[in-house]
Amino acid sequence: MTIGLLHLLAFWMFASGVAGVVLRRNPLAVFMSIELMMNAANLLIVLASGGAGMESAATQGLSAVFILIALGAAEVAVGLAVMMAMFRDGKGASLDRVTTLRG
Amino acid sequence: MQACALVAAAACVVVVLNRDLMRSALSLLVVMLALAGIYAGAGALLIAAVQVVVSAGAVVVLFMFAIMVIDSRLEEKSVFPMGKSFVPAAAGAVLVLFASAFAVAGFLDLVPGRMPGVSPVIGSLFSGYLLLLEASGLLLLVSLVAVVILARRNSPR
Repeated sequence: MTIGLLHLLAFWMFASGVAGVVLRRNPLAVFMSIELMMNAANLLIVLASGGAGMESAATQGLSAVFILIALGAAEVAVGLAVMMAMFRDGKGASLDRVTTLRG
Repeated sequence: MQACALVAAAACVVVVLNRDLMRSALSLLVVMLALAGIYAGAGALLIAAVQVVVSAGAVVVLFMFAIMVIDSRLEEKSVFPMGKSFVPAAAGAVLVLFASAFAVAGFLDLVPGRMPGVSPVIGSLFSGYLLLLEASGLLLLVSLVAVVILARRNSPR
């Protein structure tokens, strides 16, 4: 399997997602970076399944991506609801102020 | 496909580095649409369609909704003042119309029921992975209930 431009794109997307999670302080920006990372993983699965053939490996990979997109939608819905609750409590503007679980 | 990859790579950087959340969300939309183009180019038409509908449609709209609600609470500034942004908005609307016209024209060439690569995936989802599919549906229902409880104004803690 050769490394193509699209594999580099998946790497780039994941790397920028990690950078966003580490660098940004706004919870919504961090969440968008997480979304980038998840899409990088999806892209890699589609690439590894070799597009849409009749082979069972390709079919299985694309089915996995189908389920993963649904999973991502559920994740975004719950995460944004948590963020709305955080902003309602007045401590959502920066992740540094969310310290309830700090030991 | 290479053009889509370059667009996605550039938009990724904008998502991470832009300080304006609304522009980040719009760049995320660009990333999702470029990914859909890559999927379509790789032959995964079903995944491309689902990516447009769910990721580009539902997820990014949800993000924008949250940004608008939260931003309007923090400070009363409109992200896009209507007077200045009328020309870009009109140009964007025309661009989207043209793009959708091309997409519809492309899909009209496909024979119904003969869309390449769709029926094996759907077949495996509804046979081998039926339990997983139903579980993800259940997950969506549970997350819907959780969102309603979390987003209630006076939720008991």
